[in-house]
Formats: sequence, C-alpha cells, structure tokens
Amino acid sequence: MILELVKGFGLAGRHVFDALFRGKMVTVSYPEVRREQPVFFRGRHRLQRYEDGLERCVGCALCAAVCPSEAIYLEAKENNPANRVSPGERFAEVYQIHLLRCIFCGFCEEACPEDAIVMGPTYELASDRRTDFVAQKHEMLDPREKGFGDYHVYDPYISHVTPESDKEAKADPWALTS
Amino acid sequence: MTAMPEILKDDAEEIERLIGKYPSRRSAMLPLLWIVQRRAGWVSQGAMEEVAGILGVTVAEVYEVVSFYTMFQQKPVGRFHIALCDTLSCAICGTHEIAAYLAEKHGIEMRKVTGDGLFSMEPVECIGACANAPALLLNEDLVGDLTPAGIDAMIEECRRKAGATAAAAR
Amino acid sequence: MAQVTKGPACGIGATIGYGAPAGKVGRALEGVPEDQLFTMTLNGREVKARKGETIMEVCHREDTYVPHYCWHPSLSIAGNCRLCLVEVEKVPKPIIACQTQVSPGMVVKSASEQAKTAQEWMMEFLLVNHPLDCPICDRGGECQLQRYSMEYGTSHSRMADKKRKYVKPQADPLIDIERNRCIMCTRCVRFCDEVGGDHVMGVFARGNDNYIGTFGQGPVSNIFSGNVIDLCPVGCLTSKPFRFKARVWELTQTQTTCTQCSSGCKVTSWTRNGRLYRTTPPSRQRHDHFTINEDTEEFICNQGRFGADFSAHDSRRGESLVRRADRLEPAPFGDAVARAGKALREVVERHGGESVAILLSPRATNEEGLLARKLARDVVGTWSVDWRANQQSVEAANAVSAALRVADGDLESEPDVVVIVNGDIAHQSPVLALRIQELGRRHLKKIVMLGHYHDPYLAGHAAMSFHNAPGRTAEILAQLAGVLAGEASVADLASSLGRTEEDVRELVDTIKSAQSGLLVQSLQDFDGRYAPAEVPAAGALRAALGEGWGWLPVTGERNAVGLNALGCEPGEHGIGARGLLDAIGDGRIKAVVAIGADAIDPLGNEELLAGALSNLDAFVLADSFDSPYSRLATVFLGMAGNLETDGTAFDIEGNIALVKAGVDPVGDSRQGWRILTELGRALGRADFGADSIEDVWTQVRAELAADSDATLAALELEGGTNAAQFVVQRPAGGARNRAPEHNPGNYRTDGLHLRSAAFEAPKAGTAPSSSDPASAADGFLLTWGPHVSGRGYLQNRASIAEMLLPKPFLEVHPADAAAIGVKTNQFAVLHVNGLRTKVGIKVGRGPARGTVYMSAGVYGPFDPSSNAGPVEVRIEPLDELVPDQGEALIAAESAPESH
Repeated sequence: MILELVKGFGLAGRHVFDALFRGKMVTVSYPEVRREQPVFFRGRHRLQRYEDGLERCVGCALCAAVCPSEAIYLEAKENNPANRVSPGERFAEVYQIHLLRCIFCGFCEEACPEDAIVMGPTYELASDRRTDFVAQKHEMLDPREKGFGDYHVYDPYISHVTPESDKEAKADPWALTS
Repeated sequence: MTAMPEILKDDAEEIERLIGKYPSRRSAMLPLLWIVQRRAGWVSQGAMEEVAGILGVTVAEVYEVVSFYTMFQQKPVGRFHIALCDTLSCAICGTHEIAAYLAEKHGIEMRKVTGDGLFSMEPVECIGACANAPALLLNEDLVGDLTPAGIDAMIEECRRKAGATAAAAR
Repeated sequence: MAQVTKGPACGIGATIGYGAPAGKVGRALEGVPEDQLFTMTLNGREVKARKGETIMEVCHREDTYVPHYCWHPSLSIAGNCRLCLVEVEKVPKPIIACQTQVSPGMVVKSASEQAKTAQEWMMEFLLVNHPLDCPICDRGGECQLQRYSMEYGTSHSRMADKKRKYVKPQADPLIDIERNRCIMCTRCVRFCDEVGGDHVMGVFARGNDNYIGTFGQGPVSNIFSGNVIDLCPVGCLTSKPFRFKARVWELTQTQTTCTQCSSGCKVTSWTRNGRLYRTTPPSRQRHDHFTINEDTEEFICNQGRFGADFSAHDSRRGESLVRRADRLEPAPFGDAVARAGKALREVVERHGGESVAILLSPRATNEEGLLARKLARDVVGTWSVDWRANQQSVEAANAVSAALRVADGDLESEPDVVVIVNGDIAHQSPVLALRIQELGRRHLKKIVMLGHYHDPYLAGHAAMSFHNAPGRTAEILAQLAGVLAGEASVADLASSLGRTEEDVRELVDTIKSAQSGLLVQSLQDFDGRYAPAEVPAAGALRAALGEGWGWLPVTGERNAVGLNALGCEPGEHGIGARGLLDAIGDGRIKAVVAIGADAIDPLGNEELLAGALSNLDAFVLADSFDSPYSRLATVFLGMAGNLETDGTAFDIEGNIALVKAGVDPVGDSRQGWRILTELGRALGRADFGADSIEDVWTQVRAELAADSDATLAALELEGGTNAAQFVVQRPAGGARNRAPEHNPGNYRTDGLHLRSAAFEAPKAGTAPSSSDPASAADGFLLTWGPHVSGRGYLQNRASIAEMLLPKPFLEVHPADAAAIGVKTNQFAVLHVNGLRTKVGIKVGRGPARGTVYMSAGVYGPFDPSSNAGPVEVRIEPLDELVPDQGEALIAAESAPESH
C-alpha cells in the first residue's frame, strides 16, 4: 500500500517537474495566452474585404437561404457608383447574424459565391446583454485597412483564393456597366 | 420629340408614289429611309420620327430597321463618305496601307469625320469588287484598284466638286 | 408581326385566359367536331389532336412539358429561342414544337436522346453571352434560365472567348433593363406590340449585336408594361421598385385580389415582415415551391402591380383619435368607438335617424357593405347610405345604379360582337379593356365602337368605329335600337352619324347576324350630364338586341356590383353621396359616418368639404390615413388598409373573389367589418354584426345566394387557382331590409356570377337641365378618363405614385387641332369655366370632332360637378413644346461595348 502511494505521488511529482522545469506545460495561461486554433475552426463569422477595401459581400442572401437555423438576416441595396461599397451592383446594407441561433455549421461560408463570409478563429462569444448576440455587419466586417487579408491561411475551404484570382473576379462583368 | 427638321417635306409626291407601290404603307420604309439618307447624309432621330409619322408605325419599328442595316448611318458623316472594304481580297491587296495613306496624307481617319466636314471613312464587309481589290465606295460610287496616286486624284476630285458647289452657292 | 399567327395557328381559340384558372392552354377537345380531330403519337402514347394545333399545345394538354422561352400562350409565335426542339419521326433533324403544326399519324418524341441533346446544346448556346451573375440578379430564384440549366442544360460551357457586354441604358422608371442577361426571346417586344398596344420596344441591331430596348431610351409607355417583367424568362427585365429589396424566396405570398379597380384581378402579394414588397399575377406551384407562372395569361396593369403599397405611406395612421375640447387625441379603439356611438346616439335622439348619412368607399368589401347598410337601416334608421361619391351628379349616380342592377353581360361567354359605347375603358378598368382587346386580337371577334370618345387602346382592334357628335350618343343609341327593331331607317342613322348608308348597313348587319354579343358601355366619362340619358338609351338598345346579347355597363369602382346588389344606396328616400353637401348645408344631415375617406374625397375640393364637414354635429371617419378629413373628425377610427382586410368583392362582370389580408393591420387599426360591428354595438345593439369574418360572409351569402353553402375558404385561391364554386342565387322578390326598390331581381345561377337573369330596360331618368348638347357648340365638350383608383386619394399615396400617373395630356381631334393651331407635344392653356391649366396637347382620333379628352392628372384643379351650368372649354395654344423624354442620343447606346 505504501508502495502504491509512493508510485502515485511520484508520477504526479514527475509531471509537476516536467511542467515547471522541462517546458512540458499542457495548459496555457488564458487570457494572457491564447491557443492557436486549427485552420478549419468554425468560430465567429467574419465578412471579408477585397484588397482595395471594397466588401466582398454582394447581398445575394444565399447564406440566409442555406442557414438551417435561420440566423441570418440581410437587406440588399444598389451601389452608388460614386461611393461604392462592393464591386458589383449590389451590396448588403443590413447584415445580421443571430449568434444565439447560429449552430456554427459553416453552411454560410460554403454557400457564399463571393467568399465573403468566413468563420474566423474567435470563440469568445459570451456577453451579459442579449442584444450583443445579434452581430451587426460592422462588427463582423474586417477593418478597412486590413484589405485582402490572411484568411486563406486558416481557412481550407477558400484556399484557392489568391490576390490574382480576386483581380480576375473583379474584372468581371459589372465594372463596365455601373 | 422636339421640333423636327422636316427632311422629307419636299418629297411628298415621291413618297406617295412609293407608298402606292406596296400593299401596306409600312412596306415603303426602306425607300423612305434611303431618301432621308440621300437628303441628309445620315438618318437622325428626328428623321426616324418623321418616317414613322408618315408610315403610321411607331418610331421603334423604324429604328429596328435602321439599326439592322449597317449602311444606314446613325451618326453624321462627311459629304463624301468612304466605305473601305476590309474583307479578305481587299485586305490582302492592301486595304490597311490604303487606310494608313488616307490618314497620313489626307487626314481621313477611320470612323471619324474630317474637320471641314468633307470626308468620313468606315470599314465595311465585302462590297463585291474583289476583282478590283482593294476597293472602296465613295458615297454610292465604286472606286477600285486603289493606288496612292488614284487616291490623291479621287480626293482632289472631291475637293474640286465641293469647291464648285461652294462657289455656286456664293 | 402580330398578324402572322392570328387565328387557328394560335390554336387556343376557345377561351380567354385572364383571371381564369390556369391550364387553359392545353384545352380539352370536348365539343370539337369529329372531322377536326385525328390521332398522333406523343412519347409512345396515342393522343388526340385538333387540326391546326401545334405540337406545343398538344404537349400542354397531355401534361408533357417541353422547355420553351419565346413561346407564350398569349403572344404570337416567334420560334427564336429554339429550345423546344423535339424529335419527330421521319424528320431528319429535331424541329421546334411551338411552331410546327401537328398532322395525322405524327410521331413526336419530346424526351428522346436526340431531343434532349438538342435542348442541351441550345442551352449552351443561350448561355454563351449570359453573364451568370445570379448572386446579384433579382431574377435569382424564379429564373427560367436557372431552372432549365439545372433540368436541361450541361454543367459546363465550351465558350472560351470574352462575353458580349452592353452599356446599361436608363430607359424606364419602372423596368430595369440589363441587356447582358438577355437571351433574345422577344417576349417583351411582342407583348408591347400585341397586348400593350404600342410597339415601343424593339429588337435593334443585327446578329450577335442584337439587343432589346426602346427608341431613344424612352420609357415603355403602355399601362401594362410591368408585365414584361414577369414575361422575361431571364434577369434582363426586372422591376425597379423591387430592385434588390429582397430575394423572392424570402417573401410570403398571399393569393388575393387587387383592390384598385373594377377589373378585380387576382394577384399575389409578396410580403415580408408586414410590408408589401411587390404584387404580381397569381403565383403557381411548380415542383416544391411557388413562383410566378412564366406562361401566365393573367396580365395585370401597372397601377395594380406597382401602386398597391399605399398602406405603407407616411401618412398612415394606426391608432384612433377622439376630439376633446377642439383637439384630437389618441385613444384606444374601444374608447374611440364608444365615443363615436355616443355622438351618433345624441344626433339620432335630437334630430332623428334620418339626419345621419353613412358613406362607403367604393372599395368596401361586400361584408363592409352589408354591415354598413344594416347599420343604417336597422340600427340608426336612415336611408342615407351610399358608395357612389365618384359619380358626378345625383342623376348620374342613379343611372349607374340602374344600369348595374340589370347588367347581364360578361366577357366569359366570348361574344361574337362587342359594341363599345363611349369607352375610356383602359384607364378606368384596364384589364377589362385588355380582355376585350384579346377578344378582338386573339379570338377574331368583332369590336364595334360607338359614341363620341373611342378608347385609343381598343380602337386599333376595332372592326368598325362610328364617332358621333358630342352629346348625341343617347340619340344615336336610340336610333340604332329603332333600326334593329325595324322602326327607323338606316338612312336616318347614317345621316346622324355622318356616314354612308353602306357603312351603317354593315354595322347593322354585323349586329343582327351575330349569334351572341355584348354591349359595353362606359358610365363614367362625362361630368354626370349624359349618363342619365345614355343609360336608358343603352338599355333600350340592349332590349332591342334580344337573345344572346348582354349588357355590361362599366364603371371603375372596385366593388360597384356588390355594393349595388347589397342595396348600399339611398334610393328615393335617402340622401346620396352627391346630395350630401347640399343636405348638410340645409341642415337635413347632422352626422356623417364615412368608411374610408375616399367615400367623401371626390365630392368636392378640400375647402368645400372642410366647410361642410365642420357644420356637422358628428363626423365619424374610419380611415387609414392622416388627411384633411381626419383632422375634422369628431372621432377617427383607425381602419386596416389595403392587404390588411379580409372579405369578398365583385368585379364589374359580377364574379366574386376573395380579398385576403396578407399582413396584420398597422398599430391599433381594425378591419372595416370589425369597426362597423363595434359601431353597431356601441349604438346599443349588442347582437349587431358578427364576431368573425366568416360569420359576416354567411350573412352576405344569405343575402346574395341563399342556396349556397360556400365558405370563405372555398373562395380562397388554392394553389393559385380559383377553386371557388360559389353559386349566387337570389329568388325573385327576396326580402331586402326595408328597401324594396333595391331588390336586385332574379340573379342568374351559373357559378361565380352575379348577373341579372331577367333583363328589363331601366326607366329613363330625368336628365339635369344643363344636358343640352347645343350648349357646347361654340366651345368643346369635355370628357375625361377617371384613373383606376378614383381621384387619387389612395393612388397618390403609393410610393412611386408620380411615376404611375400617365403624363397629363389633352387629346384633340386632328380637325379641331388644325382649327386652333396646335400640334402634338405643344403646350396649350386649357380654360374651363374660368379656371385654367397648362397642358400638353396630343392630336388623336379618340375624341369626335368638337370633343376634347383630358387624361387623368389634368382635371385636378377643375371640379365640373360643382358647376351646375354648361362647361365652357377653351384652348389657347402656347409657343412651347413638351420636353423630350429620351434625352440621350441613340447613337450612344447602339453598339455593344466590345466583342
């Protein structure tokens, strides 16, 4: 019996020693330190921009259509050529995701024909106010200066997107007409 | 639909004769449009409205016809309109050199009207004069076997005619 | 273009489709003579077909779907999309089903390998220049190109070159044209040419450069232009007001009927979050979802399509108001209605029930009409209940009632001859005009026009037209009746019409030789001076026409037929809408209850009405809007607006249809029948009215069709088709609460109809003294076109009202124009009784010589009804032109941008 006790404490002691002195720590000291998420992690939604700052979202509402929990609401509007929001004729004026309804299935990013909506690495979604759980467009949108971002680094679904393919996409039909 | 220049006002008799040739009035559209083009050089919006009024059709129907036939000019052209053949035989025999020569020597550029309003030029498909390639149509006349010298003579002739008309007008 | 496929080639020949159940294209062969029939083989089955039919029509009848873009049952055959290629045995190559007529023993395979491959390749061709920008295209979700791509197309394209691109034109304020998406089916072009009545759209340029558009980037100007949006199988023509507002799959569809005019079209209202986004012809189920039927023959007018959102206007008021010490204060509905009841009771106690008048909007449903009449007759005890504020005089209103009471004609029976008297039908009941036009265009029936104004929309399809001198229509009709009865000579009629005897004899022969016919009479194009004489004359003519004929008096009011049949009229004892202002003036009326402010709005201008209404002891207004009238009310009761009301209504032909609420009433407002019920109870009759719309309907049904047990649900448009089998039946002399003179007589009993069975010509009314036509001799006789929603009380509140109102113009006969010295598009000053307005002139052959026609929007400043004397009209030409509509040069838009 004594022997078992010594064995047990010994194991615990070895792990403490490993963690403290041999750099084999398994926990991180959150919130000072955060774990890096795997590339396919489906966290809080982000709305991407093109390199020049225009929004990728054209307000087609396919994400809202495919959403199994009907968490997405959007209203589209016509672009003003003098002050455009997105490259095409149309952009999303209102874009809301109800994060309490969202089941983080990722269908929205799969449905998106413009690779506008992606699910980012953010998992800290708690709040003490219900209204905070309706994510508005400006909360999800990448900062303007960020431009063509680093999303392809962590998102395997859209890894085919490159700055070159973006330019091609934007050269398409509507530059002329609007 | 502003006040229209009445391009066809002097042709009332001819128009009635043409309309009488066909079972329905609208059939006379092409001959009427040719009269317009001969009078004004091109078919303006006002002219189309006038033709539509005469034939009792809508102006959209007239525009359907005008836009179908490329030889109806929808923009003002020079008094002498050069239709330079750009199809195979002529192209092989030097259409492009001729075009370059016209632009360099006489300042007549493709799809443009010269400053004095005398000349304009456009490329056209085969005008059926392959035997005389390269060839062009000067207004309604065929000019074939084009050479720089021939071009010079042709342009000179046109300028002379224009001068004579101007003198007569004076 | 249109003429090519008229007649048997259209093959549909038997019934018109508008407002009728779907599936009429592949019509049953019952009743077709045996020698016209033969057998053929379709996909291995023996089927019967009729001589002259096309393969497409046989396929439709046999429920075999053949994909198609350019073919449409209402339009001529173009055969240019080539998608309906099918295999026919012994024909080496696939041929198009839409244009190929069937022959005996023909063996057609619509889904064979050859046909499928051909269709696949055609899809690839059609997509060669299509931009595939579905995410931003408004058609997405209801696009035929999308659908066919999935069903008949391939997943890839071999098109490696650049696609053709056009500069986008800004042509029409209502229709967005995106030529890059066009597949050149030319449905829109053919629609404008054949149905819309003006060839404003065209196919321009040639070959690969083909594009559709309007001349000089002008608007698509006809009143049915919105239908090209539904006809377009791709995203080329989309609705501008609806542009990018929502995706179609997000919207809730309500199958209801339009409430704006007496055509009573069935429509689908597309709503989301309590807001109306768009109105379309009835949607149909296709596969597992509802969509607009691309082959719909139920066209609707622009006013119904784009102008139905007036309930969402800024002036909308949901709550009720009560006047306290000269101020209107918001109050809960219950308090407001109690206060209204108290105010009315006081008036009744002090001055008697007869001093109360109840006015109804002509849009009121049958349920509202019945309850209003019961409220008046049973509770308040007054005869004065009326819906006819739009009529221009008491006599005219009575003539309209008399005409509606005995009307016995409709278009469903497809009469051989349609005689139109004085019609500006296209503006007051557009789809009715469209259907008449359809009779002439597609079914080759004869249209004859009489009177001193001929509807330009229908005139193009008229086989014969006879203008008469202004104001002499009644006389002409009487003479024609005389000729038909053999009492008058053709020569006299000819001299009255100023035409040769031959012409007139042809007219008489046409009418006499017709198996069936319809006399269509427009009741509303005068200032109320002529209808009293013309209605009896038309009635006499109808009587002379005899068996097989019908009489269809046309007025633009939505539920005129229903309200008339339910007796919502004052008769001889009460005071009608037109006599109201006088009656208030001399103290006979002390209280007014108005259900909908458009029940009083047309009675005069604002000052006139405000002056009269402020003399009342009580003015109870149930309405949806803040208006000059709501500010004068003693009690304002918030009433549900368009698309918030349930009920039933009749169209001008006597067909009943369900008006269904698609959204909840705004704020605290209530549906009209509920307001009337509560009002009756507040007046001390606890048993008044009913607690559900179904109960009120039961009461209406008991009045109109005692034998029927149709529920409202039975009237509902199930799956977009009208499943109603409601039989209106009314035994002769049935009890009508204390109103024997409103007994509508013996109604005919075939399904869905409210039409008189025993025709009896109305008695001649007394025309007002000012109806002497000679008084117009030195000036002009004025006629005008009442627009579809009355005088614009509601219409003005539509979000794009200004785009829907036709550009105001004054139509003048060419001879008169020459005499005055005016030309088309020149401005002139129109003087009417000392008032004047500037208006653009249109020279046309609509009006007879000596008559001028004011379009809607011109007559605003004038109120002819308030003038007892003859109307003096003078036109003074101005040296100024109406500005151009298409500003850009055509050259700027002609060629495609690149190849």
